Amino acid sequence: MARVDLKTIIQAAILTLAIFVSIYFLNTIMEGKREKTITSRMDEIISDFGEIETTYYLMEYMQEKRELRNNTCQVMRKELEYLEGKLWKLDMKIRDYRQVTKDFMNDEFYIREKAHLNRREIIHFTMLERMKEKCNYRHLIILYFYGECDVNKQCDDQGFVLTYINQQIDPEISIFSFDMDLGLSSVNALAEIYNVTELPCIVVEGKAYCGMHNRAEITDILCRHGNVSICSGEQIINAEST
Amino acid sequence: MIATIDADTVIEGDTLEKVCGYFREEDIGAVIVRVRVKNPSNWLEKIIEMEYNMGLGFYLKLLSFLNCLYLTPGQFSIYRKRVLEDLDGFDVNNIVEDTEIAYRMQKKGYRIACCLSAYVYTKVPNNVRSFYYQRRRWYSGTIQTILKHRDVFFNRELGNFGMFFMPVNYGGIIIGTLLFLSTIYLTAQTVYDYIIYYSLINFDIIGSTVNIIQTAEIDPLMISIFYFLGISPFIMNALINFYALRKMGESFRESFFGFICFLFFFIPYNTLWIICAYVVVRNKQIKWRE
Repeated sequence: MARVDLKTIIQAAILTLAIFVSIYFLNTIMEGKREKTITSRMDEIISDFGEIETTYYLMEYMQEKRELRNNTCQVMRKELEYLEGKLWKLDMKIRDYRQVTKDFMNDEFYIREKAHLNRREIIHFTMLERMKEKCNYRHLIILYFYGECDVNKQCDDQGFVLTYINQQIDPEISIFSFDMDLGLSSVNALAEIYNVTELPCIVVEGKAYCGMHNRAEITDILCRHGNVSICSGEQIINAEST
Repeated sequence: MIATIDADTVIEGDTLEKVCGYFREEDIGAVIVRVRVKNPSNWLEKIIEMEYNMGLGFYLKLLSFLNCLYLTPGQFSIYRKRVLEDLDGFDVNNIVEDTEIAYRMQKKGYRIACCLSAYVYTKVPNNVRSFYYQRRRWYSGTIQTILKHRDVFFNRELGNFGMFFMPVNYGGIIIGTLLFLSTIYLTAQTVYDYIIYYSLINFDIIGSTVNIIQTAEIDPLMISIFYFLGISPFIMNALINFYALRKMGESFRESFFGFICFLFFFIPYNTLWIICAYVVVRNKQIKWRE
């Protein structure tokens, strides 16, 4: 009867297990670092928001004095543009995190940070709207609502098109994305205000366009509401005539 | 002793000298040598050269230490005459008789030794069609042989061969094939998703890629565990292959093309196993030559 070399077999099994355990621990360490990166960026944004809120109240006060309106508008615009860049990058990071973490629908960290982000985006959005009113700031604001990701794998496909357009005309538009699956009351209220009936849905200058739209359709929608650089001559003429 | 040799194989001068010493041990039934590729010229021959360096060289030597050798390569092997008589010779109805006889040797308690310092040179397929037909015969024949000798699995009497090598090796092939199929499925799904995405932006792939390059942050933290699980076999394979080449005195620089391509050999390998499993299940006849 041939011998079973148990010692060698056990050594091989331990080595194999060690490799898998190392990969698992490496992933756990990286997961911790991922979360830390997102949390520290969120903390920075929260701190920046403190500054912006102060500037906003200052702006409200300064608005009374016409001669100071231009300066405060400029300051406010700069601060909001700076913060918007940070919000956008954090949104991308949270999306990357979502792709890496397969079970994101039940991932507590994702739900928590996305909720924080959505709340900040709503504050930012209201400030932008106020600034447009007071400072005659021409800037297209797009609200993007998505959700039902547990039943629809393509729930965030619209985001791909909006990211593409944003990369082309970033200084001219502001895009805020809201995950309806989080059940945030502020997001739900916003969706109700703008009559979001179907997901995905984009709201441009207060008007809802629900359903999936490709690049051409979104460009058309944007051009109806403002003269952005990707509009063709024909689209500008059509927008002016309506 | 009786040696078998393929018609397109050439023996190095001192091969018999190096091999004979192994037969001093009475339980040695056969000795195999390293099979090398003669003057590989085209891309396929260079990849097969790497495969032979590992699969008909280094790995067989490792398996011989555990008495787990599962084949006596048809290119060249030497058998003890009385062992061949005891086994009633080769199974003439088997298309991989070199593998089948190894199983019977293991079952009868004979050992197979591997002499890595002795080698022979053989010709290999130099086009995809001949490669396909060769491997179809090899792998289908192996499946038929395993089915014929399925009593070797978890057979304590066969020691490491029955309790370790057979379950781990062929279990690994099955798991590997399933993982390969799931990789194909996930890749196809990802490609489909990206076709949908890019259709929404009029297939402006260049514009989108330029935008991504200009604006994206490369963050190594956003690499999931699946990348590690996918990349680690490549890395381990590369390290083992590199070590094996050095140990066998091969030039890494000369073998570089074959070395790199061999890391992706799992693609045709798994595809062929799936095809051959189908061929065997459908009971199709497999000829020696097509």
